[in-house]
Amino acid sequence: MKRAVQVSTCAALALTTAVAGSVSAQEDWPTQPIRIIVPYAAGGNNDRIARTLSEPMSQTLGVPVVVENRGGAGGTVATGEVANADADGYTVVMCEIGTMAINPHVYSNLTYDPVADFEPVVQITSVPLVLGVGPQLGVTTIEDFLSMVRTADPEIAYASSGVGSAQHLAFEQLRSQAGFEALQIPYNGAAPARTALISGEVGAFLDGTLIPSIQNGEVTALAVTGDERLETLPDVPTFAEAGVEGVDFTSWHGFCVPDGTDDGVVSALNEAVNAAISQDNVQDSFDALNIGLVGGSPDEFRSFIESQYDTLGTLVEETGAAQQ
Amino acid sequence: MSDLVANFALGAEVAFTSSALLYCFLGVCLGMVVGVLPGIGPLPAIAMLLPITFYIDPTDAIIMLAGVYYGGQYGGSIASILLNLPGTPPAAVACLDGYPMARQGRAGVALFITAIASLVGSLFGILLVAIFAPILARFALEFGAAEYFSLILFALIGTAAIGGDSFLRSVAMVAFGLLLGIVGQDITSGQFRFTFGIPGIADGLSLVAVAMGIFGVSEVMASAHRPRQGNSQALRIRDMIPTRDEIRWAGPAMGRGSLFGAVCGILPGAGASMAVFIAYAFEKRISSTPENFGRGAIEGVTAPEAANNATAQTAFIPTLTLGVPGDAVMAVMLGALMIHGINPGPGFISEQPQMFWGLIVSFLIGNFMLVILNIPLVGIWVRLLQIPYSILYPVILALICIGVYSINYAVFDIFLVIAFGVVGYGMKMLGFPPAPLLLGFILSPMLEENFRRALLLSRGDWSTFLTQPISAVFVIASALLLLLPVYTAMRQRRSQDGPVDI
Repeated sequence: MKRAVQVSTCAALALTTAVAGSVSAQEDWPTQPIRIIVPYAAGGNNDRIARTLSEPMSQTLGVPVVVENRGGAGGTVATGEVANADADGYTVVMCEIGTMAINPHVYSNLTYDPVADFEPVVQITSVPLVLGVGPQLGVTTIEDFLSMVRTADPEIAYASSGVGSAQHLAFEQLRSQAGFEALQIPYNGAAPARTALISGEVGAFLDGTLIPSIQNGEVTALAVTGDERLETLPDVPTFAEAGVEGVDFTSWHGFCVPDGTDDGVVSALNEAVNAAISQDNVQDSFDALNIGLVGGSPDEFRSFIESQYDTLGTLVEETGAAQQ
Repeated sequence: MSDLVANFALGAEVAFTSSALLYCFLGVCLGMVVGVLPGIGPLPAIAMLLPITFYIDPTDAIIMLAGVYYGGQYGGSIASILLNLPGTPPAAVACLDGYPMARQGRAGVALFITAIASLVGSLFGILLVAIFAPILARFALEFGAAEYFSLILFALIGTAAIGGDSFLRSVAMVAFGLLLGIVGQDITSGQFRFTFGIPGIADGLSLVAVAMGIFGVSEVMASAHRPRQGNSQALRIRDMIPTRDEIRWAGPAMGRGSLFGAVCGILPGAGASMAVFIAYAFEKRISSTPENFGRGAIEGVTAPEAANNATAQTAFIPTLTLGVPGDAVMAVMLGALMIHGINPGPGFISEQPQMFWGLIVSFLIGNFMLVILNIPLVGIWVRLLQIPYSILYPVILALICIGVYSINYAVFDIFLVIAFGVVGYGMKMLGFPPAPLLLGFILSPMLEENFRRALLLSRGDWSTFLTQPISAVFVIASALLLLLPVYTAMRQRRSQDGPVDI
């Protein structure tokens, strides 16, 4: 009898602590380190953005914020893993135009739905793409470029970071809007594509990481996508100014958490990121990388993702980049 | 010349500050440790150090990261020589002759000579960076798709026979390796090949998983039934010194290895893994005693060692003077620089002379630190052999699994390494050499990608391989390599047969 009382008291105590423990975990979030999953190998922009933000975020939130690189299959492997992770607010994924808006249309066996499986937290960046040409091409203005490519035989070769990449789709958008023929030469990422542009192997590259090479003089900038000129390239017109409408492709990055995460947690993360972005040294780092910061609310990001998903779906179909 | 002295003086000012020396020391120590540990290499270490670099002076940061990178090339061959399992994928070649040397009781000599070879390779690379960086960078830009294809074809033909005694088995393994390299997403078309819908191999089989599996895990499995070997005497200094003959052979081998390593470092994408195979195969070809290779030939150990260190140093040339990273590690370092607002490119040397020359001088300091650290440690490494295998091998297996996991945080990679361990064990039992497989696996993606890209760019014109001058050189050289043995064999046969009888 005494034994039974002992056992049941222990069981009752254990149950109480278990329940109380889990309740307090939600209210006291965060109590453990937060992981930002970057779905690409170390060394790219996604990586740099996450690592730059991790330190100010951990100061605001009071727990360590660590970055994990889990590359694979254009970012879809890790994004899928986070979609199925616990919605406890300790796993954040670096989501960007590729994983959320392009790859779902390109890959047929995706393990996640970018709209339904995630709670958007905040949009971090908006990166316009710059049309860069090598000095060997012999053009310095967008008008010269357009007249050249419309009559070029054979057609001009342009670099892309891979079939179905943002750079590929953006250039196809430019090509169809401006009316010329071009041959895609895919490379394994932006760095080899940039090398090919500098060495003259390809004629053009439409990308967001060209500004250091432009400032070094290795690449000539002809035009930028988006609505406004870039601060770092004040003499370079937008495509709209140059007479080519409809080339508005911008790359972007943001944070998402698995669907079902508590609203309070989402707002806390959102506030932490917005606070981090407003810090001077963070802004300086991003300026150095030539990445434009956005910030904003979760709902703004949600509607942005949804509209990008639709827009790019159409673009993927038009360019035929989808996998069979 | 006086310019060079002035530049080195400038660099010395930067590199001999106490903070620079401290970070250099930390970097090379960490690099050596991750190089020794099988599976974990410089890349995860550098990625993890990256956030720390935000808060320290950029020059010190790059000095430290660079120290990890070239320090890793010193440590990689230690486990190769002592235990027949490589610490890093390029160190796999050191197993071929280093381990037989250890089995002959000459582990001390092997470890000593590889430390010296590493130093020689590094010094050669540093010299090239200091004097010829901009010229070499421009030269590297001349290499387009056709040139890369022809170069890799030449390398493939030249190295296909490196595996042991049976030419046929060696070539068979190269072919198998080439096939394994095809697995994954094809760059040129975006199609997935041989992935069977498994996301873990959508980007191809991980090089670390294949190398560690075929060389490392298989070795652990094979040792289970091997009797305990090796002497357990304490190592005397005398035991580390090579014989006069060995020095005579090893010296030029270091020079040739450094040359190959430097070339592979300058070309973005080529890398240390390719350099070590080319260096080893070349030594075997020009040696007067090729049958010694695979049985403890000292040139077979020193040339690859010099090559991988030369690659690690010259890899900075395209990175710093063009802003073009040659591999993933360089990409991370480039990022570290860019976050500090420094953009490597053609103007780097003239705009940031303190950083460039400070880095060069710190390379020198770091390499000498490594040699001074390594030589006394040789005795300690050799004593590793005294640890009972029942403790040592499970620890090694655990380290391999951790190392492989740390690349993509993917449990699938661990299964991959075990699967390749089984494959490697099967190969050992059947007498198929593992090194050619790794060679084919490394070269296959680059070979195919560049072949198809060359044809894309030439709009389907096959003559592009012969009309581009550099490419033509390598194509003709490949043809000669292929045909020369056939011609020699035919001549020999004819002189043996004599006049033909009716």
